Amino acid sequence: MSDMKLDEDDIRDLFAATPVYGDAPVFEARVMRGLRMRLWLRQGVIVLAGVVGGLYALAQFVRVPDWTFGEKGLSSRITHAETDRTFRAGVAFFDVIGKKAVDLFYSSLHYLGIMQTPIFFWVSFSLCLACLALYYAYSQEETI
Amino acid sequence: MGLASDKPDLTRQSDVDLVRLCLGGDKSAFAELVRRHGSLLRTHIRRMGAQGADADDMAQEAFMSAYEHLSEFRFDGAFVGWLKRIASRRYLKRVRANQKYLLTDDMSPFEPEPAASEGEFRAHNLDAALNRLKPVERLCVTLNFSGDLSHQEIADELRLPLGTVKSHIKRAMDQLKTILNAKPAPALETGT
Repeated sequence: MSDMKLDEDDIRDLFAATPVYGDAPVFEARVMRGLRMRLWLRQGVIVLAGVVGGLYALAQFVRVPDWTFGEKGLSSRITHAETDRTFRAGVAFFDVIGKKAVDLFYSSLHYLGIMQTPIFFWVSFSLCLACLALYYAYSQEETI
Repeated sequence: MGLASDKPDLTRQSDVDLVRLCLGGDKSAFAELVRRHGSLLRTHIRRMGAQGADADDMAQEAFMSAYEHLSEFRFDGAFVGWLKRIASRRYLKRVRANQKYLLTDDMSPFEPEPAASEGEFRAHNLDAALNRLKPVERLCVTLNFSGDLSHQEIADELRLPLGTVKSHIKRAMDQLKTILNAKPAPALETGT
């Protein structure tokens, strides 16, 4: 067999030839899974920022002067006005749920108090700034 | 006659069409691009010098990065070229961060083994031949031939003088020709 004399074009052709990988479908699935995961994480950060912002807004809302929450519930009056037993049982059920929710709400006043402190404001503000900075840094790093 | 499917047959679409479908929110079009170019990209990264699983990780990151920046693809060249460029930049970034030795001028650690110099290395195999090059030569020649980067672009990416890049590529080509032109082993006599 005589020697093959390769020139530049031959080597270019060798570079263009691509081997077939046995795990190509696995790789494809892995890429798509990673992509979905990254999108979910990104949406998670947005949701987290929204929740923090929403909690902060709620905390400020509760601070409104003379604002009260359901001390005298509407449900008990409805219960007395209606006579249908099924309806009354339903209203009573929702009344209990409502009261539990109110209890929970009042028990969380402690946390609401924390949310109204300047430290919470700065923590949430810093978190939002960090999110923005991360997005900016990421977009700069990945610029093509 | 069967009902015509709303979904186009992605395997028959060109890369450009697939990119347009992706931009319209069709993730399966991107999956087709991954299927089509996954092996090419993995090979490109391996030829630059990355090893097995690391190369696959980088190929995955390059695809994800491409997906996120698909709107920046300008349709003025092959999609796969753009993809390779993303992968090359990612690899170079990692190389610069972790492997300072790559751009060293000290050639002694990369001198070919004496046994390989007289045609003992017979594999007509580009990947095996690339393994015998100095890392920086291998990188330059792969970026030039596989990544389709010009000498100047390689010099910019590697932050090396243009003349140095040219000499790396010339030396790599000479070595590749020598290695790949080496006489193959005689076929074993099997009898008839």
